[in-house]
Amino acid sequence: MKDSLVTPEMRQVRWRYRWTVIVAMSAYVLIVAAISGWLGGDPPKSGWGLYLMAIAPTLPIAVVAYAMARYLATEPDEFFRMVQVQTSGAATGLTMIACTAWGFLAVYAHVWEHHVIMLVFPMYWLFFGLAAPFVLWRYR
Amino acid sequence: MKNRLKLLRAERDWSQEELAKHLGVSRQSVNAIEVGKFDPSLPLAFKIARLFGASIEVVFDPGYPPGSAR
Repeated sequence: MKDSLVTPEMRQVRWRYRWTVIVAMSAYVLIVAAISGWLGGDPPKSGWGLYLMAIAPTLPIAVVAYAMARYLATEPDEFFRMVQVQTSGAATGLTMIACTAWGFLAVYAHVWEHHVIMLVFPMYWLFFGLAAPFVLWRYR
Repeated sequence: MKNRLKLLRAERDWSQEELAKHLGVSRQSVNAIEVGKFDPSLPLAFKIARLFGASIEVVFDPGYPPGSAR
């Protein structure tokens, strides 16, 4: 939401949120590139090393989830905070609906069986981006 | 919730942006409150009322008389 009035407190909270997300998502890309072998090297083929490596991208995702929760708790503009919470709720609901539909399609119709649940996070942000203008539009 | 914010703002010849600046909130917040689509928190409602030198009841109308819980 673009606004001509941004208090120093709003600026600080939003700046912290944006940079936390940028740094975490950059780390995510680097970790995925590393474990996919795009950066070279010889990743472990079995054992705990393999498990740890496989779940490593979860760490930056957890950081982003924490940053989002912290942002929603500290955004000084209460209207903007409410809009963000409603958008997050809409995105969560849409993600659950899509994942449930996806799961049943996979089990009963054998559609997209080999796609994996790690796509839930990008799916949430896709729905967040789609829902945001509609939520804001309701308050015009 | 109905309110007299737009009227009070007009009396002072303030734009939404100027009022937002006085309150330390976004212009969208002021607009959403004015059109009755967003009810401010109690601290913000007090801040608005104090800014206009009025009581909360003068600025905001809950739609039911005093002494009635709706």
